[in-house]
Amino acid sequence: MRFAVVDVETTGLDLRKDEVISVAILPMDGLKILVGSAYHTFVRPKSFRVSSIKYHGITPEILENAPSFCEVSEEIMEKIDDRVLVGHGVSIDVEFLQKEFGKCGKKVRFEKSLDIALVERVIGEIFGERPSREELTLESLARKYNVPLVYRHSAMADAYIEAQIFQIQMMRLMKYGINSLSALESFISRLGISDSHFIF
Amino acid sequence: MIPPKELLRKIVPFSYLTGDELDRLIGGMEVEIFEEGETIIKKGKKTKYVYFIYSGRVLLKNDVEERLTKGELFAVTSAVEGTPFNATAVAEEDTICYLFDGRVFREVMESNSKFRIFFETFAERRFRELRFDTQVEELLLKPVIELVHRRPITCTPDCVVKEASRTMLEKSVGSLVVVNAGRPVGIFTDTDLKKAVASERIDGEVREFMTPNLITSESREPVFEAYIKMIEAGVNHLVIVNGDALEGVISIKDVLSVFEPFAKVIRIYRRLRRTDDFTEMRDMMATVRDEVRVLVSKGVGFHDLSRMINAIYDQTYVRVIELLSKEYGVHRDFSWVNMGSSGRKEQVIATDQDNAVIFETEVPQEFLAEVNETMDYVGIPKCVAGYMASNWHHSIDEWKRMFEEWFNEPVPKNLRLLTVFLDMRHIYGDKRLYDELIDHIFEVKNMQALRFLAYDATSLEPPIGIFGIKDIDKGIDVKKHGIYPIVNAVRVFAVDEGIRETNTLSRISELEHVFGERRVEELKESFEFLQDLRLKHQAHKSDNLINQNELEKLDLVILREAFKIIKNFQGFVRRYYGVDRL
Repeated sequence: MRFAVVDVETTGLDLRKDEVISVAILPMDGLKILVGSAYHTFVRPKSFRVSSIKYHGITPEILENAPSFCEVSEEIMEKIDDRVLVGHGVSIDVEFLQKEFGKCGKKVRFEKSLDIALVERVIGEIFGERPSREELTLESLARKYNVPLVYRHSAMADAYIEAQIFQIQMMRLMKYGINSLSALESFISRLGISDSHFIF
Repeated sequence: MIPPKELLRKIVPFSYLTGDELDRLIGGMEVEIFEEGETIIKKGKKTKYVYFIYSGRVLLKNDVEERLTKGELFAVTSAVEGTPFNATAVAEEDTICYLFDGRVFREVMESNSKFRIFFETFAERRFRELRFDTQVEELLLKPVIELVHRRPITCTPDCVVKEASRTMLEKSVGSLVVVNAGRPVGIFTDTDLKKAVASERIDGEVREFMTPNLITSESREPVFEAYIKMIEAGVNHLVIVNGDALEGVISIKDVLSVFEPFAKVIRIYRRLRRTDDFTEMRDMMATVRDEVRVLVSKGVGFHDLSRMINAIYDQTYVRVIELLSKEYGVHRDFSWVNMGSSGRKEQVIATDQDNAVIFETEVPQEFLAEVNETMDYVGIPKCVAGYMASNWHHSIDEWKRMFEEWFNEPVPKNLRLLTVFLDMRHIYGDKRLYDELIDHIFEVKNMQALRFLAYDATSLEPPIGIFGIKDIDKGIDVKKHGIYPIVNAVRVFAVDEGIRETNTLSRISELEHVFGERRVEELKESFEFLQDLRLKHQAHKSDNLINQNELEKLDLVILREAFKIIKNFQGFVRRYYGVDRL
């Protein structure tokens, strides 16, 4: 099982207006996080909303000197390879990435992605605990799995936190006998807990 | 920045790495999770990786079992040298490890000597090397301005030599900085003065004889660089400046004093041998106590300090007993012995008196009480438990009989007395009495009592649990949990083997035929480390409770290692004396 944990920072959440300003990709082979192969880049947007500076901790100077998405799109594709994309609320990251690729004239569709919030719901079903919405935030999951929340709002740090959570989640599932992606998929469809927010 | 990097650069030994070296290491890093019960490495297999435990617990199974927890590393040698791993590593609970590529690890070790020495030190468990390094470094790297103790004495170039020499005499300095319009232009030293006198020109001006090419040092420059400057230029004085401003003058003696931190205490020792005034003695002892604090803060360790300080305490005893003997008309025909840390020559910060007397013909009780009182007065407090010559004075035959009784009836009270008196060391008087008693002790000692003593010595374990050091946040009593277990167990072996030495480190050395070379080294290193730690703590606090936040990161790593060594040693003691079958 080859995964790529992705975390994308954007100028906002509006898919039509907003743009990607930072991409972090952290490959995983099975349960192994390949820290040495981590990839991160800032991306220069066409227009930059100053109001989000504080939130991201990214200054206009950094972004002015950053490459455009098209300039790094090849690298990003290489890093993702044909790995299954993993993240928290990963569908949004996926949509933004597809849009940015599209703007560069590259038609890319990521067929498979896995949301750690969804994985958490699967674990909830198995262990008979139904997590509420609040219990599925990145902060709550990190707390639950004892993953320290450090340097939040940097794409790389968030990706690492997500990878650590995913690592522990997967081990739990393996202990339960779910040790392949297809096993997880069939489990999810059987339970019918997939919803529009947890795109597969 | 990626979180593992942030974590690693704060912890020993990764904190020794440059940003670039750390990046190289992380460039080949992976994070892997192991399920409870999973074997990480099998014994005899080679491993490509060095493992760092991020969370969880790992059991290393070899002849002995060792548990590793958060923050510990394993398989370093194996991964770096490509040799088979000498144990089986199993995850005892779900465990997350950072995996470093062994080849990259090796490269970083080759480029960074501090990083390499850390691993060599732990592989060989020679902690002192690591610590000594930092001490010397601290001494030699401190800024030279710290050696300047007063404003410089100056004169002008047209100052007459005779006047200049008068100023030097009055201010008792060996040199004057020659200043023209506020700027230092030269230095006039003792040597220059001799030149003026030799050419009978003491009415001449300083400018004719001064050394004009000033050798200066910037105030922030490290001491050792200033030293090198003086050696290279062949001068005995160095002018310290801060930009254009004159800060002071240091002499080669000031620099050497950094290398000779004991000078002051040695002076006191000489004076102590001549004084016959108890008040003066009391003042000297107070100075010694202050000086010990200074020395500790300069990084002087237990090994050197205890040797020196015990000589001073011994001298104080000798002097007090000598002087009072004269007053009371008492002859030298008794042996005054000290017990406790003084008996073992392990005293640094004065502890209570622990002493006794072995006599042939009765020594007056008033005299002994007076010695105890006087020692108390000069600064060594009376023993609360009453182990003092005024209570413990017996004839040699009586002492022999008592030891026999203690050995033959190993009830708790007698075991306690053995623990106290088996560390006795002759201080003053007729040493033959002491030697005779020790000979007798070795004759009458018996295995049953020694086994009970071994049992006592292993009953308190170091606070090391499966999660590392227990209760480190509440403070750890290093004396109770680290030093005493070593002292007490080593005493048992020493008596068993008929070793007359009382000092714990010397006893350990003499016990190599029992302990083996490796254990001797490990114990000595751990013992000295714990004593150093306690010393540093006691320089500012009077208890033995060491708290986590007063420990440097490296100290914490070594402390855990030292406790492991002690715990392992206690296992050896138990097996050797069959303690568990008692």
